[in-house]
Parts: sequence; structure tokens; C-alpha cells
Amino acid sequence: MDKNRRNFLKGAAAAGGAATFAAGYYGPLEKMGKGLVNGTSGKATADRLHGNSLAPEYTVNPQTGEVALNPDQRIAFTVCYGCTTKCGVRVRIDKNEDKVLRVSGNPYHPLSADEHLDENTPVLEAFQRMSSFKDQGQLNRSTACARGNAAMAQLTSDQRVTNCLKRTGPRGSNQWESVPFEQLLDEIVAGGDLFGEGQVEGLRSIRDVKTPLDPDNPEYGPKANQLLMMEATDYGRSALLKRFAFNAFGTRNYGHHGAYCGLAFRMGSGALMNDMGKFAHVKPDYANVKFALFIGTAPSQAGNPFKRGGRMLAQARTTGDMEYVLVDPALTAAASHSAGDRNRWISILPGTDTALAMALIRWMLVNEAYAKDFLGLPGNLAAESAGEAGHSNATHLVIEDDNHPRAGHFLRLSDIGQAEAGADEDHPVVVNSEGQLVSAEAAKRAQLFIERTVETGEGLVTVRSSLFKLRKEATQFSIEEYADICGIHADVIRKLAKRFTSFGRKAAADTHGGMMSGAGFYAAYGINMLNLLAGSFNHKGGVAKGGGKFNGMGAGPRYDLANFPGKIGPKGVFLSRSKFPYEKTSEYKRHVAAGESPYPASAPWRKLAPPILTEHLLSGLDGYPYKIKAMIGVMANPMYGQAGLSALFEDKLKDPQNIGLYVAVDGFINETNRFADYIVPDSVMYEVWGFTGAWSGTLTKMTTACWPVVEPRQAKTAAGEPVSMDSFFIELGKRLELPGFGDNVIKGADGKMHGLNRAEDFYLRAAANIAMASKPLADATEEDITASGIEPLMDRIKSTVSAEEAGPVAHLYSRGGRFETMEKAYDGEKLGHTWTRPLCVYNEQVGTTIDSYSGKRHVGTPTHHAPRFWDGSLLREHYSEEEWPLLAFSFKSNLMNSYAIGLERLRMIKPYNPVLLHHNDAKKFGVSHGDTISIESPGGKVLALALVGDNVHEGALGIEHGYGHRELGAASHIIDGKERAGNPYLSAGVNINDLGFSDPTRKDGTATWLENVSGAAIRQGLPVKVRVVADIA
Amino acid sequence: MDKIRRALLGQIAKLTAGAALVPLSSIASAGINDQPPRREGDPDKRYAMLIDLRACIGCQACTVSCHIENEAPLGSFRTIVSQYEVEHEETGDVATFMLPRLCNHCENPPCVPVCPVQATFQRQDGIVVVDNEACVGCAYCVQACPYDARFINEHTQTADKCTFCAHRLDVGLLPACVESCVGGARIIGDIRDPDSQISRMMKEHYNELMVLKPEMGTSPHVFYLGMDERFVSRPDAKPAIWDVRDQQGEEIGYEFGH
Amino acid sequence: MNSVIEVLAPRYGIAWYPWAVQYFFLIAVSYSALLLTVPGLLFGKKNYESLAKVALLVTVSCTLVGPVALLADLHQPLRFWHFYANLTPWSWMSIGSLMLPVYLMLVVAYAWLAWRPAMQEQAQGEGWIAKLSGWISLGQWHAPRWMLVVAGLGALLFSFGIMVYTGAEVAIVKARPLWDTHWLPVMFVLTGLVAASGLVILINRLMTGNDEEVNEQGLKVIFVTMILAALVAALWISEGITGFSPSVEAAFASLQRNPEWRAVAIYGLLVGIALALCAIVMLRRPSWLGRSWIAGLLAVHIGWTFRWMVLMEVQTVAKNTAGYYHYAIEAGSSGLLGIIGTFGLWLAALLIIDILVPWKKGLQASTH
Ligand SMILES: Nc1nc2c(c(=O)[nH]1)N[C@H]1C(S)=C(S)[C@@H](COP(=O)(O)OP(=O)(O)OC[C@H]3O[C@@H](n4cnc5c(=O)[nH]c(N)nc54)[C@H](O)[C@@H]3O)O[C@H]1N2
Ligand SMILES: Nc1nc2c(c(=O)[nH]1)N[C@H]1C(S)=C(S)[C@@H](COP(=O)(O)OP(=O)(O)OC[C@H]3O[C@@H](n4cnc5c(=O)[nH]c(N)nc54)[C@H](O)[C@@H]3O)O[C@H]1N2
Ligand code: SF4
Ligand code: SF4
Ligand code: SF4
Ligand code: SF4
Ligand code: SF4
Ligand SMILES: [Mo]
Repeated sequence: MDKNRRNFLKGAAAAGGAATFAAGYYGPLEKMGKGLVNGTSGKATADRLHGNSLAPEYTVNPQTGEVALNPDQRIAFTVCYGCTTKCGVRVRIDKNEDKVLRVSGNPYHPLSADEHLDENTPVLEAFQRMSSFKDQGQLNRSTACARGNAAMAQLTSDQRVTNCLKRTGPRGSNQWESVPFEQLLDEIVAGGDLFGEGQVEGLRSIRDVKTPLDPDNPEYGPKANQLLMMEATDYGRSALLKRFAFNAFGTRNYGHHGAYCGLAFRMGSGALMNDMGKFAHVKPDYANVKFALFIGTAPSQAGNPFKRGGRMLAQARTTGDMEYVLVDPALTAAASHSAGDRNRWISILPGTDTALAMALIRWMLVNEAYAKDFLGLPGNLAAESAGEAGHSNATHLVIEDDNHPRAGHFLRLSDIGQAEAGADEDHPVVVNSEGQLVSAEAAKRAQLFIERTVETGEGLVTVRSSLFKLRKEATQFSIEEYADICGIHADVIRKLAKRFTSFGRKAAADTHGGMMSGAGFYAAYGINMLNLLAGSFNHKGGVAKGGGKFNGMGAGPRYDLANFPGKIGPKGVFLSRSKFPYEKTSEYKRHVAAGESPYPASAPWRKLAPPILTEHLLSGLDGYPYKIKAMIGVMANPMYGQAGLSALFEDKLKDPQNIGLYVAVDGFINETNRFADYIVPDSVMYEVWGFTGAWSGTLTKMTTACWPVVEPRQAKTAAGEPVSMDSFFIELGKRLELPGFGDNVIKGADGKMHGLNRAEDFYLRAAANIAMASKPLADATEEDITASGIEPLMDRIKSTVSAEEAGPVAHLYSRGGRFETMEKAYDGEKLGHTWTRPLCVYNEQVGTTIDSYSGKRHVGTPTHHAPRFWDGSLLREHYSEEEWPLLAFSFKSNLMNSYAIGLERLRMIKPYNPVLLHHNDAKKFGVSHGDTISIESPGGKVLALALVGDNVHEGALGIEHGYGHRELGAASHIIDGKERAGNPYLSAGVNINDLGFSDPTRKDGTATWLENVSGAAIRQGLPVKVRVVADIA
Repeated sequence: MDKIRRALLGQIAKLTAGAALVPLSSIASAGINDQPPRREGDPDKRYAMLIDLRACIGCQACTVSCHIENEAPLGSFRTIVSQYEVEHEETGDVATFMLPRLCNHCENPPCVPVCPVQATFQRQDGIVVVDNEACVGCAYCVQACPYDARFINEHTQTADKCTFCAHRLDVGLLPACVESCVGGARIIGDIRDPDSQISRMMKEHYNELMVLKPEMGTSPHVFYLGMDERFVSRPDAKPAIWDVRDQQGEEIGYEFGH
Repeated sequence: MNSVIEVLAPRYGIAWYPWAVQYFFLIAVSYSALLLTVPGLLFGKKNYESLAKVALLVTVSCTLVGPVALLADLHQPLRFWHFYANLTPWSWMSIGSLMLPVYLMLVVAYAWLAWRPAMQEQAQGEGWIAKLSGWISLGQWHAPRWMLVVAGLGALLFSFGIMVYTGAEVAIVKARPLWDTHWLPVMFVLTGLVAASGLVILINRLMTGNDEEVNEQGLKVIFVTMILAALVAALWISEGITGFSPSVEAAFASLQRNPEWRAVAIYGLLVGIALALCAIVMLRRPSWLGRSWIAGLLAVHIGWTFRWMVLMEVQTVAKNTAGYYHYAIEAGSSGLLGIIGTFGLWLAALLIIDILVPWKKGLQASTH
């Protein structure tokens, strides 16, 4: 080779090397380029030291404490939709961009603040109190939790639905087109061949409040019942939805998430609190309680109210003197290692809480470690003279003989001929210390344990006192036997009982989600019984129902929002066959007439249960008791939230033959509304109107006011209003010419009629009702108005409510609601707000309700039973331990909720949910920490990562809830021909509800496994098996 | 780590925490890797944080609010709360241990002297900051911090870390994480002011306070109450499972990896 | 059963990218190769002249390319001037930033003086190379040898500076116990020498006639430095085991029960033994000297991989939390492409010098 040629080749190679270099060096080169142009290779920063940290919303003079607002920002108070806690928050807004900058707590708000400020504190002063001036802000904080902080991204999420969508493919095909709001209304009202799949019946013709929907069963009510309304829960706007559903459209069928949230718990506590209508419940008075027992609820991991509960718990175990025990299959954040012996976690096998509760009750009764004096008070008079806020029915006598016509009822004065039946003075009968039968209202004290016969009009009957009955139930098994069942050592149970009772009336038992098991109702009843036996109701340091809320949406002092001309009331049987005894149905009568046994019914009729979505949906599509024709769902997602529903329901819902019309009102496309025919875009988070209430345990009365603190981002109606749940129902009502919507439908205190044409017509008047209730709020000052960022709202206030109301209404919004002062929390050693109904050792309603399968009465006191199916057969009779060795349960994520997965700032902290497996089980099934395992149940199979440790009960498998999504951004949708791509990271992890299955004792696949008494979805204690999956990349 | 060494470390952690209470004049000398003089900030103050772990519920409100307040890139943290499942050494009880981590604003911060361009420095009030207009992004300070408290901000391409929210402290507001602390665990303040909440609490709990990695000689100014010796240094624990899998079991990695 | 489980911990990325490995590798090869030029070039030892020729080429090419890689490891590369605007004598990196350009210039001067006579000669010829050579030689005047000696000694002096600063810069980082040992700078130098010798042997094979003398000398250096490296490693380990150095002990603890690191250690041991054996066997059987390039390759591998392990893998050991961060090398600029790119630039530098400089001709070593 000659030299030139060689040099040429070398040169070429050198050039190649240099080219590779250039390719490899593009990163630094790019940075250099940027550096050259901008002086930095990154994003320009606003400040040398603080980079792009947010500009402070206000400043505080270090000497005087004077507050100076940042003119570019606005702070406004509204509500957080980060979870059902619905905290009041303060939102920092960039005025110029109408953009939310960051969120923290409203200092006036009991759900957010340590000790909420007096409503009369000027707003600027409140800001000073949140600052570092004299450490005030950290001596008394008002916070937003991680989700509450991250949730602002929902507003700007690219997964938001901003236009009215109509499906263009078959249901669930994820294909949509945008349509104008008015077209959507036209179509759903008139019906027609809307999807090229045949005729769809419109809402106009469904809305028939006269014609019976089923002439053979007239009790089912009118055709209008064939519209099913569904909602997650009351986020502050339910009143408007219900006005439409019940009182204007006239459908009976409305359901919210209660039945797959915590219904078994709520009913169990309702049974104890003698409230089978609203199912009241209590929470510990954290600030003063000395000992708390959390069974199946985990304050600070979840729990309602999440943030307040977490904060109170943290303070109580740190600076307070509370001690607590958590009984839970899983280790949660509530068990604090740092708090040392202030708290302890005891693990339990899922679904066995009745055993634990009955064991504790047994110990208390046998060892006479109960509030004898309190329980011995038979009636109001006795309670009053003893200085108690209420009494219990421990001493009341129950008619025991099954063949007595009043079997299961309390023996009343009329039964022994001392009063007119049903009369006011027909009081229950008790046995006084002399052994005489007397009126519960006459005796100062009555005997607790009674079993005797009594001569009644119907002959001699056996009667037993409630407490006697309870003891009988409790002593069916020994503590050792109970211990065996629940997997907690008998000595541990005894110690726990002893400890619990050693604090007298300053002890509290609390429960919630853990009760969503196959024995949940009685477990919840039993756990609440501990509070009754300890006498901790209504006591400082005991358990509290709370202060309740100011209701503005009823027949208020300024405007009547409950009644209107033409208002109707819903009629007929709920789709879920609840609140209605089977024995009153035509079907029952036909059976009896035909001489057949009416039992079992075709499907459960639950007289005690409220209307429940868990039955509504499948019943409505399957047609028993009747079929629905249309459904409007607002913000609900049962197909993600109810165990086993998707598998059972999806195909049925996809078929337009089963249901003609499904309209969803929502901010997002979720696992349920992806099957909708239309999606109406709704306001999100801080763009909403509404009034939300308090949670139990919040000792003072309160109502949160929310208003669109930033402009809603979705499409507008032709009239220029944002399309939302509010405008949807208002416009739909008007289009259907329903009463209650349009002009002249709201009556003012002065007799004048006002229109309901826009959201604020309703909400601002409700605000006036609240602001003017009892002692009206003072007028807001100019300074308050500026400081609380409500300037943009003022015009609307002034043009909607009267001049006299405007000041107080502005005051209400400038504080983010109306809040009773802290002083009202207590009244000496008692709570300021008490629960005065007689507490039920025995619940008469429960004890006299007939199970529609067996035809037998329910047990009226807490009792032990294993998880069971509708026919009463036990879980393990169908799904043996040999085949399904583990019991899966779920617990809420402390970070996520059911719809938070789209929030990047939460995903970056915890991107998925490894499942908890006990190391002994892991060993048994050959699983190592970090292995991919398959979890199989009778209803489904999922893949998960195993977190092997000591953090779960042996024999149980724990799944954190909030992951394993299929929608909310996980899947792709075609909208107007363009693909909106899904993000696979949103689908990471598992959802235990995919392991749900149908009750094998119900007619082929007609229902998921539901708790018998309540119809609550069962998500705790699902039988599963696991195996390592090796063949996964 | 054996028990004796751990107990020793715990002891050192306490002593180091205690020593911080004796006000140090900022020792500056010019040897290689010695602390340069402090500059800017209020010379009469010394900011520090106390974290009462007994009150921490692990809610991560601090993590998220800090992230928003300070515009951190997704997946980078000025503060985060580690969560552990722990067995009590005596009782065998199992509980959750939450450990919020952030910059310790060390009295002897190893991150400062390494900086080749003096972009990162300690203010006279103890706050360690980065001048992002001077920073060359060499990441030396990131390596030098024993607490993983620093990172290169992928947006600004400069070193980033907790500033105790100096932009808020300086105008009389609380740092985002403190303001949002649901459990009320985070307490910030001037430890030269004997009346401040933090000073009072430090006095009250003098013997229980611990700091992280005392063996590094950094003299951290984030003090922990309710600390377990086992976590003072890198914990001997089964690590978290980090591979994210989708519903088909495929590994999909961490969405916000850098 | 382990009693503590980390349920939630953040993941941190790495802060120094493979660019750092490239710089540390190239600069170490540079100063090591410079050492190899000393007997032949600076001291004028005839039997080391061939070694010096190859080593000088390696020195210059690596010295030129190293800083380019270094610049890339800055996230704000164009702010490099801040180093000089804010002199920071207490920071090793700042000290390094002062030393590096001086070193670079001295190496260039040293090489220029060494190659100049041949360049001047080449300038006499025809064509653009000759013309260029003329320019580069800056005329035909005679440069006295003392100039070369001064430049060489200066370069040598600064090369020690580079050794100290690159080593100290990493070794003072207490935060990473695996770095925090006074043995690390020593190891950097030793493995640098190994790699430089290996590279010299390789170039000797590829660009000259595979001079056996060069091979032999290279192998000797490799053998001796490997033995020393083994000694240093043993000392480091004993410091950890005896608890003499708490930091080393902590370093061990940080790798406890980690199978990957165990595998790395075993691999390192095996490759090290293989290289030492290779060297000794080849030295003892002159017939095998021709295949020294095999040892050369191994040596370069060891030098580079050592830096990869130290600089990259150590960054995956979590400082605070229990685990190890996952680091998968990216395909792009801050990863694989960057690594290849740096080598591409080095190759280009090498070839351009090769084209322009008649480096195989006599060096100024013997002239006076
Ligand atoms: N962080 C967060 N907070 C929330 C929510 C959220 O999504 N995220 N959601 C809010 C809502 S809607 C609600 S209803 C509340 C619910 O709040 P909680 O009732 O506290 O939460 P759950 O996770 O439903 O269940 C409580 C506990 O029951 C345990 N458990 C499961 N099965 C059993 C069992 O068979 N027996 C016993 N004893 N325990 C069992 C679970 O492990 C769990 O720790 O939380 C509210 N707060
Ligand atoms: N396995 C298991 N299952 C559970 C639970 C569990 O712990 N474990 N928890 C149960 C409990 S307690 C409950 S309460 C239920 C919850 O179940 P649901 O109440 O049915 O479900 P959510 O996801 O809360 O439904 C709210 C929907 O509203 C939409 N949305 C979210 N934010 C906004 C907004 O700002 N504006 C508007 N317009 N729409 C919005 C989203 O589409 C979201 O899916 O799940 C239950 N299911
Ligand atoms: S608990 Fe958190 S997410 Fe839920 S409402 Fe309150 S601030 Fe929002
Ligand atoms: S914690 Fe790290 S970044 Fe903060 S001052 Fe200490 S060494 Fe520097
Ligand atoms: S990254 Fe910036 S602050 Fe950190 S050492 Fe380098 S130049 Fe200094
Ligand atoms: S003080 Fe500010 S920067 Fe530091 S962790 Fe808290 S919020 Fe983040
Ligand atoms: S905000 Fe407070 S309570 Fe919540 S994790 Fe952070 S430090 Fe702990
Ligand atoms: Mo719920």
C-alpha cells in the first residue's frame, strides 16, 4: 500500500472515530448550545438560590406580624376531592394564569386544622396564625395530606373528559366522538336509533310516574323507577341530584357506594345506635380518650376522616396520653414503632371478627367489667336523673317464644295490659330491683340479667332481658374456642379485654372497612357493643357521634330548597329489594296462595338494608324484581370498587338489550363509565359548587362550602355555563319539563319565587340558608373578601341573594364554610353533641326481621358466625381450606385512593402495590420476597409481587387498595378519531376486586358475594391460592 | 451490624445531637476540604429541624408539598419518608417505622467544601444552599453528601436540595413540609432563640434526640425524636421491591427513573 | 428471618455518568504512559526508546481526549469557566481544574519537542503534510534538549498532581465508604499503569512491528504492578476485617450478602490472577512474547473495568437505604454512545497524530 492510500484509510478511520464521537457527544453539545443561548443548560431559574420555588403567597413582618398579600396570588377556601374525607382546604392560585399553585389546609376547618380557628377571626389574622411568626403556624397547623397536595393535578390532567362524549363503537369499545351538550340532551330525552343498534327509549318516555312498571307486581311502582341513578357519595352536590331523581323525575332507584364502602359496619353500628335509617356511627374522642381499640380500621393508614384521624392519633400518642391497640390482618401505618408501647398491633384472620368481639363481650360480662350503673338505667327519666345523656335497652325484656305474635319484640306495657298498644306511653317493660315488672320510664334502675315467664294477653311467655340475651350469645363458646377461630391467642384476648375495661368510660372501640367480610354486620354490631358495655357513649374521652352539619339544602330559613310546586315523592320497591319485607310482595302472596313455601325467595329481600348498588346493578339488568331502561351515573366506579362485579357485570352491561341508555357524568373515564353511551364532562376538584358535611367524631357542627375557585376547564353549554353535574340536571330537568327546575321553583322567605337555571341559583341560596341560620354570620369585611380570594364570586353573590344576605354569604365563603367554635365540643365531662336514642344491646328491628332465605328471624344481638353465603352455608363448605389455603383481604393505601392513580406525584412515591404474605406461608408455598406470584380465587386470577414478612396474619394475604387499574388513564381511547394513549404505569399492581366471585348459592351468577343482613360487598376474606410464576420476564 | 456497635452508634447519634446545642461559631479554615466561611443569611440565627417520629404517620404530605413548592422533577426528592416494617427487639411486636429524610443542614457539611466553584455554601443561619447560577453541575456535592439529600435537578441541570424553604422562612412563612405535616411531626425554628418551640423541645428531650450517621462527623441539624438506633445509619434491612410489574407480570421499570 | 423490611424507599439515579469513567481511564492511561516514556525519552536510555515512542503516542492521545470526556460530565459544560473565575483552593476538583490544563500543555510541549526533529525533517518534503509539519514545528530552529527535559519534568511533576487529585477527589468522599480509603488513589495509579502498559503493548502490535522489547518491558510493568495491586487489595481488605478502618468496614457492610458484588469480587480476582500469570508465562517463554497483545487486552480491560466498578457501580450502593439502586446503562449520549464516542475521539486523535507525526522515527531523546 502506498503511503497516500494508507493515510487516506487512516484519515477515513479517524473521521469515523470523530463521527462516532460527535454522535456520542450530542448530549453535552446540546447542553453547551443551550448554555450558550440561555446562560444555562437547563430551565432558567427565577432566583439564584431558590430556583423555581413558588413565590410566597404572603409575607409576615417579623416584628409586627403584619401580613402583606402577594398581589399576583389569591388564596381561596374550598373542598378537597382527594378522598371522601372532603377536607376544607386553602388553595393558592396564580391570579394571572388562573392556575392552582399549591394547597394546604383551611385554618377554620375542623377536618384540616389542629384546633380550628374561630369563624370570627379576620382572614388576615388567620394567615398570620399559619405563619412562622412566633411559631404559631406549627403550634396549630392546618394541612392537606399527600393526596390532597397532589390532587391539584386532576384539574390539568390530560385524562380529563372536557367535552360531551358519545360512543361511536359498541359499548366499552373505547371509541368516542365529541357532541354539543344540547345534542346530548336532545338525544337522551327523545331516544331513537342513537347508535345504529336499534331503538333506544328516551328519558321522556321512561319518565312515567303513573303507569305501573309491572301490573302483576303493582308494589314495584311506576315506570319512572326504570331509571337508576348512581353516585359515589355526597361530595356536596347530592341534594341537587336527589331533587332531580326523587322529587322531579320520580324514580325510586338511587344508589351510592355505601354498600361497597362500609355498609356492614354502618349497619352494625346503626343497629347498636338504634338508627336503622341513617346508620349513625361514632369515632373515638381522640383528644381525651385513654384507650382505643381499632378493629378493622386503621386511622392514619385510611379511616374517615383520614387526615383528621391521622393527626389526632399522632398527637394523642405523642403529646396526649392515649394508648391503643390495632386488630387487623395487616400491619398498617397506624402501628407506630416510634410511639413504642403506646400502641400495639395484633393480627387477626380475616372475616373472624365476630369471634373476637364475642370473646371480648364474654369476658366483660363474665367478669362484670361493664358500666353497670349506666346499663341499669332503663329509660329517659332514669338517665336524666343520673345525669346521663341517654340510656340503653340492656334491661328491656324481649319476648322469646317463637309462636308468640310479637316474638322478638320488646315486652311492652300493652302486652301486660297496662297501656294501649302503640300509644305514646306504651313503654317497654323492665324488672326493677324488687323483681316487679315496671315501665322502663318509671324505674330509676332495673335488673340487668332477667330470664322469666310473664303472663301476657297471648298467654304465658318467656322473656329475657337484652343483656341476658347478649350473655347467652357470648357464652356459646369459650374464649379458647373464639381464640382458635380468630387466630389471636386466648391470653391476648383476655389481656386486651382487661386493658380495655381498665380505663372505664374513657375507652373506645372503633371499626370500619375491616367489617366488609362475610360476617361483617354482626362483627360491627359486636365491636360497637364494647362501647356500650364500657359506657363510653357521649362521654369526653369516649366515643362521639359528632356535631353534625348545617343543612342549607332543605327548607331553610331563607329559601326552601326542599319543596317546590309539583314536587313528587318516589314510590315502589327498590331494585335492590331493600327496606321492603319480602312478606309484603305479591310474589310472596302468590306462593302462599298456591300453598307453596314462600322461602327461599328468588333472591334476597333485605328489609333492614338501605337501597344498595351492590344489588341494584345486577338486579336492574337481570330483571328481578324488574329491569331498568336507563342509568345515570355520577362519579361512581363500582366496577373497580366492588369485589367480583366486573366479571359478572361487564358482558351484561355491554349488551344494549339489557339496558338501553347509560349516561355518565364524570371528570374522567373510569372502569365503569367506559361502558357508558354518553359521558357528560364534569367539574373537577376546586371547580365545584357544593356543601359537604362533617364526619363522625368531629365534635363541633360544621359545613364546608365549596365554589369554583378556578374556572372550570370543560366545555360550556349554549348559555355559557360550564357543563357539569349541576348544569346537566338543571337543563335535563328543564328539557323534560320536570317540576323543580327552571323559573319560579325556589320559594324565598319573603314568599317570592326564584328560578333554578344555573348552579349558583341553588348553591348560593343554600349558602344563605346556612349563613343566616340561627344567629346569622356577620358581614364579611372588604379585607376578608380580598384575603380569601372571593372577589370573583362577589358579583354572583350580589346578583343571586338579597342585599341583607350577601354579607353573611360572603362571610361564609371567606371562611370556607360555617363552623361552630371549639368551645361547643364539650359540656363538662360530656360531649357537646350527644346521641340520645336508646342504645341497643338488643335491636328489636333486627331481631324481628325475617331472613328471606330461611324464613327465620335474625339474631337481634351481636352473635358469632363464620363467613357465609346467602343460604346460610359457610364459605369453607364451598371453598375448602385445602384448595384455597389463604384468605385475601384488602386495606386502603395511605397514599392512594380509588381514583388517585393518575397523580404522578403519588405514583413517584409508591408506583405499585406488592402484596403482603406471611413468611410461614411464603415458605409453605415456596415464595421468596420479591417473587412474582399468581393469586387465584374462585372468581379470578391476578399476578402480583410478594412482599414477604411479618406484616400480615399467617394464612392471610393482604392487598393494598388503589392500584391495578384498567382505566382512569391506563387504557387508550379513540376520541374524535384521535388516539388518547393510555399509560401502562397506571395499571401497575393489583386490585383485589378482580378476585371477587359470585355467591354460589344464588341463582347462577346473579350476584357477587354479599353480606347477608346488609348486602354489603365482601372484600375481606376471599379464599385464594398462590403459586410462584417462574416463566415471567 | 452487631448490637454493641449499633448501640454505640446510637450513643454517638445522641451525643452529636446534644453537641449541636452548644452554639458553635462557624469554624472556617483554609485547608483542603475544610469548611469555607459562611456567607449571607442572618448571622444571629441558626435554623434547625426537629422531627418527632412518634407523631409521624408516614403520610408523605411533606414529600408532595415540598415537591410542588420547589418544583422538583418527578422522581427526585428534597424530602421523602422511608417506611419500614420493624420488629421490636424486646417485645417482638411488629410495627411501622417512618423516617422522614431531608438535608440535615449539617454544621460540618461535606457537600460544601468539595464544590469547585463555591456554588454551594452555607448561610450564616446554617442553611446550606446552592447558587444555581454558579453551579456547573459537576455533581461532586451529590456524591459527598452522606444522606442522599442532593440530586442534580434534571430541569435546571444544577444541584438541588432542601433549602429549609429559605424563600419562605425569610418572609415569615413555614416551609412547605412543615406547614403540611399532618402528624405535626416536623418542627423548624431558630435554635439560638431559647424561646422557640424547637429550642424548648430540644431542651425537654435533650437525652433522646438523635441524628443520622453521626459517624460521618457532619453534625446534622435535623434532630429525631423517637428514633431507633437501628436506623441511625444505613439500616440492615430487607430492601424494598423495586421492580414495577404490570398486570401481565411484565417488568415495566420505574416510570420516573433518570 | 430478617426483622426489618424496607417497605418504601426512594430510588436515586446516579450523579456521575460513564463520562467520568472515560475521563478517569484516559487520564490515568495518560499519566501512566507518560511514566513509561521517562527512561527512554527523558533519561535517554536507548533500550527503552521503542517503549517511549509508543508510550508517548498513547500519552498524547489520551491527554487530549480525557478533558473532553470530563467536560461532558458537567451538567453545565459551558460553565466550565466558572472553575477559573472562582478559584477554590479547598476543593480537590478545583485544584484539579487548575492542574489539568497545565499538565495538558506540558505533555503537548514535551511531545512536540520530542517529535519536532522528525517533523522538521518531514517538513522538507512535498505535499500538505509537509507544509503542515512546517507550521507545527514553528520553523527550523534547533530546540535544545534542556527544553524537552524541562517540559518532561514539568509534565511529570503535574502528572503526580493529576494522580493525587484524581485519587483524592474520590477518596475523600466519606459518604461512600467504598471510595473513602487512602488505598484508592494508589489503586488508581497501579491499575492505570497496568492499562497504559496494556495499551502500549496493543499499539505496539497494531501500529509498529510488534517490537518484542516493548512487549517485554510492558509485561514486566504489568506483572509488578499487578503484584502491588494485589498487595494493596489485601491491605484494604485487612483494614476492613480488623476494623482498623471503620470506613472500610462500612464499605464491606454495604455489600453484605449481595451476590452480584460477590461475583464481581471473584471475577476481579480471577482476571487479576489470569493477567499476572499471563505476564509471567510470556516473560518466561520468549516465543510467546509475540502474543503479548492478549495480556494487553486483559490489562486494558482491568484498568477500565476497575474504574467502571469504582465510579459507576459504587454509585448504586444506596447511602441511606437498604438496597442497591438499579443502574442500567442507557443507549444514548450519557451511556453507551458516550462511551463509544469517547473511544472514537481517541481513535481519531491517535490516527491524526499518526498521519501527521512521524512518531516512529527517532525521538529527540538521543539528540543533544
Ligand atoms: N388514604 C386513604 N384514606 C382514605 C381513603 C382512601 O382511599 N385512602 N378512603 C376513605 C374511605 S371512602 C373510607 S370508607 C375510609 C375507610 O377507612 P378504613 O376502614 O380504615 O379502611 P379499610 O382499608 O377499608 O379497612 C380498614 C382495615 O381493615 C383491615 N381488615 C381487612 N379485613 C379485615 C378483617 O376481616 N378483620 C379486621 N379486623 N380487619 C380487617 C384492613 O387491613 C384495613 O387495615 O377511609 C377513607 N380514607
Ligand atoms: N378491594 C377494595 N375495594 C374497595 C375498597 C377497598 O378498600 N378495597 N374501598 C371501598 C370504599 S370504602 C369505597 S368508598 C369505594 C369507592 O368507590 P366509588 O365511590 O364507586 O369509586 P370512586 O373511584 O371513588 O369514584 C369516583 C369517580 O369519580 C371520578 N372523579 C374523581 N375525581 C373527580 C372530580 O374531581 N370530579 C368529577 N366530576 N369526577 C371525579 C372518577 O372517575 C372516579 O372513578 O370503593 C370500595 N372498594
Ligand atoms: S384526607 Fe387528604 S385527600 Fe382526603 S380530603 Fe382531606 S386533604 Fe383531601
Ligand atoms: S445533609 Fe448532605 S446536603 Fe445537607 S448539608 Fe449535610 S451533607 Fe450537605
Ligand atoms: S454540582 Fe454545583 S453545587 Fe454541586 S459541587 Fe458541582 S458546582 Fe458545586
Ligand atoms: S424545608 Fe422546604 S425544601 Fe426542605 S424538605 Fe421541607 S419543603 Fe422541602
Ligand atoms: S407530613 Fe409529617 S406526618 Fe406526614 S409523613 Fe411527613 S413528617 Fe410524617
Ligand atoms: Mo368508603
